[in-house]
Amino acid sequence: MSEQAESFRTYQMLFIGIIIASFTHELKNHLAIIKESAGLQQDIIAMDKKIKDLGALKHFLSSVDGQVDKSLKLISFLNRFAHRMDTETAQLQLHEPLDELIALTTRLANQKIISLEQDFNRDLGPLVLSPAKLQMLVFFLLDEKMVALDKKSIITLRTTKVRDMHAIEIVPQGQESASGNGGGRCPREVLFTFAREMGIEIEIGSADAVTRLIFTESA
Amino acid sequence: MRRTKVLLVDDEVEFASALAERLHYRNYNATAVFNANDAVQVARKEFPDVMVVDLKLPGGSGLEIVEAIRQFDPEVAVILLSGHGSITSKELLESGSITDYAVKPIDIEELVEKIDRAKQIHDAQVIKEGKDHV
Repeated sequence: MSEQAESFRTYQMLFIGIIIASFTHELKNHLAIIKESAGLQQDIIAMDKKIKDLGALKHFLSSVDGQVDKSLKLISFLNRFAHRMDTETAQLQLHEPLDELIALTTRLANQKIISLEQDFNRDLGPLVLSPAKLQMLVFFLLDEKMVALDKKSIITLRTTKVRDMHAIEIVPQGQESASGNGGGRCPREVLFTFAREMGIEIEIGSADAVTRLIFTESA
Repeated sequence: MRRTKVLLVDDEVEFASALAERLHYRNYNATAVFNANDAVQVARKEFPDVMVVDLKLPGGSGLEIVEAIRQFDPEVAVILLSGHGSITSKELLESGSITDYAVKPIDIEELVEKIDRAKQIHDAQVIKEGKDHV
């Protein structure tokens, strides 16, 4: 395996690890809520407690349903994410792997009190690309922004055309974090190399700090 | 006998509310709060015997809340909740930064045992320091 391929594999493992850790944590939270809600109902029956607030009990009962739905949605995203790895290249609309990436990274952004927003032009036309590689590249670029920004910031993921080519823009809005040194978990030079291999040119605006991924072969 | 005062801090509202209700049924005086500001405010007013705090909270760590509360209530016993049996929790326990930890999803009877043990440690500390916030 070439040094470059090895480096790619290393960061791909890191990416998958971060996503799985975040998802399993989220799933555990949903299971914890289900367990407590079910336990509360068991307590009421076992301890023969008088129900003071029927509304609250109904709320806990319906929350079990809600948590199961949320867990199923998470599992389905994780399953699709896992199957993306099977697909070397595919003809896709640009927003498709990004829709999934937003779902995969929202929890990480929430932990930093950063909002992740999307502004997808769904009429750009299809592209042939590796969805797994694109998700990884965009994830690490988003990660860079999340490290650099302070609480209550917004990051918008946008699909658009730049100089007549398909493009993804990562648009940060907010204050810079005092602790952020501008570096994410994958070094920028590594990301630029991955991008070049995928036929993507990365531009980072010096004034607006917008990161643009331009699909140079899509013109 | 005064009921043990427990402060639950977790951003998962339904989890913390249901847990507080279950502790009430077991004769604890439990209050659930869902963010750092409320945790500090309630702790300043109530002086809980035991805090049960989620390790990961939006925008920070449960440990930052513990640190803030210990500025005015150094004796409060702390049970850290984590989503996994992390090395961090074990290290914090060994260093004495926390009284105990529990892994989510929790077993209520196990948590009750931990709260009782933590309360004993808290009381011993209060007697040693000659303070009481009843």
